[in-house]
Amino acid sequence: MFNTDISKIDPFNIILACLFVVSIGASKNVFVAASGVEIGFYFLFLFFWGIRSEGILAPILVFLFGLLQDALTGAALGTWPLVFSVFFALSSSQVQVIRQAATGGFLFIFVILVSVSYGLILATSFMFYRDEIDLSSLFWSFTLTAIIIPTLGLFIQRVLPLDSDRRTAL
Amino acid sequence: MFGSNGRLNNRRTILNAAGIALISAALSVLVLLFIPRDDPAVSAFRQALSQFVMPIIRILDLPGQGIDNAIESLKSYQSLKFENEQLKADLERLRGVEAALIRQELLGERYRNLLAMPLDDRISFLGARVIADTSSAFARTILADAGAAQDVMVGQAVMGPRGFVGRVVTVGSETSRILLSIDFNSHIPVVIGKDRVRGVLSGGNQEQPRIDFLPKNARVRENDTVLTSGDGGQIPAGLLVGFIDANGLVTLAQDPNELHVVRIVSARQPQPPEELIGLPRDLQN
Repeated sequence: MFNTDISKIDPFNIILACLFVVSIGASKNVFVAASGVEIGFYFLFLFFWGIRSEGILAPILVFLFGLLQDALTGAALGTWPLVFSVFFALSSSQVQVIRQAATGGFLFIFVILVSVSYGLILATSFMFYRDEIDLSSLFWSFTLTAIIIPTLGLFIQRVLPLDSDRRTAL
Repeated sequence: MFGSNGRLNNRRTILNAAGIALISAALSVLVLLFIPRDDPAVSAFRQALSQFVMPIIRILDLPGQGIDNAIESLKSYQSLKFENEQLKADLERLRGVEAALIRQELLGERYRNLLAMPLDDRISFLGARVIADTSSAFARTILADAGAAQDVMVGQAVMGPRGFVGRVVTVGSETSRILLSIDFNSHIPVVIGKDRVRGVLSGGNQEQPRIDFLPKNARVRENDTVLTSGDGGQIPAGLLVGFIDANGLVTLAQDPNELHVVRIVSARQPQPPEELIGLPRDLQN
């Protein structure tokens, strides 16, 4: 029923998975201060991973990496697996739309998915944490993630323009 | 690019990935609903997982440390001249203070001798490096590279170079997680100012914690010193926490954003009097 053939594992997906887990770890050192504000570069790698991956291995890894993020951030177990899994499900189910979109649309979809994810964090926090979450750091984390990553994307597109065929290959 | 079968298969595998991800999401909701956040087993799992990924985080920390060191060097070079002038002025001022201090020390020694009071040798410090800042919107914690192997225990106070920063909440074999005093869940008994007003330092995930449970009509003034009170017995008394600002909030002596090394404070618990040792623990207090 599912695609479980290990020989079909794509090296590019392995790189994306590694970048994803590294960005989870790196965000604890380089980008975050005790203010609790961080730039969610992991969403970027998860976005591309969602677009490219097939089969069941990737979503299971995403779930496990979410648990890792919970352990590192002190969030209740299940918070980040939920956010990452929904983000992954949305990006992998909208592959056709994402692949056919122009660069602006492509980044716009990313921003929408990031918004949904932070909305989910907010909803989860209201349901499970009551008033224990710092809304200002969550807001700034969302704002920085939704602005900086697409801006970087547009900048890279200017410097290294990717035509639609090469982007489709992603 | 695909034949009709290929397209169908491709769509099916994509749906598989999305479907499994949605199942994972549903599983996450169940985990959120049924696994309590402050369960000891969950804490142990967190600590084990953090310890497992520590080697990766340590390696990732190297460029960050390099950047930090470079910025620090640049800053110190720029401020060298200014600091030199300030130090000269301070030196002049401190020469006068030194004489007064020597007089106070002699006086203190005389009083100690009069009272035959032993020096407090119950406190010892263990240095540790901050290996990860795991702060997020959910919690304000850091990880230090000292754990059970170095006799670190849950509840111990943690100091930065300039003052109190928090307490140990979980301990792994080689690492420990420190809950910063600015975290929502941090409540530290403190005394404030010369009047030694008692209160509880409570974090709010903001830069400045507040003081709760102040007695009625307590006089707390701007610039009053905030020290740990030692109430509860876990955190030693007299550790510098910070100063009261104009809004009644506490400006921490140690900025949690600038933590690279910490000192874990180990304080031996005072033993109850001998005649009480045989009694049940509840009756000893």
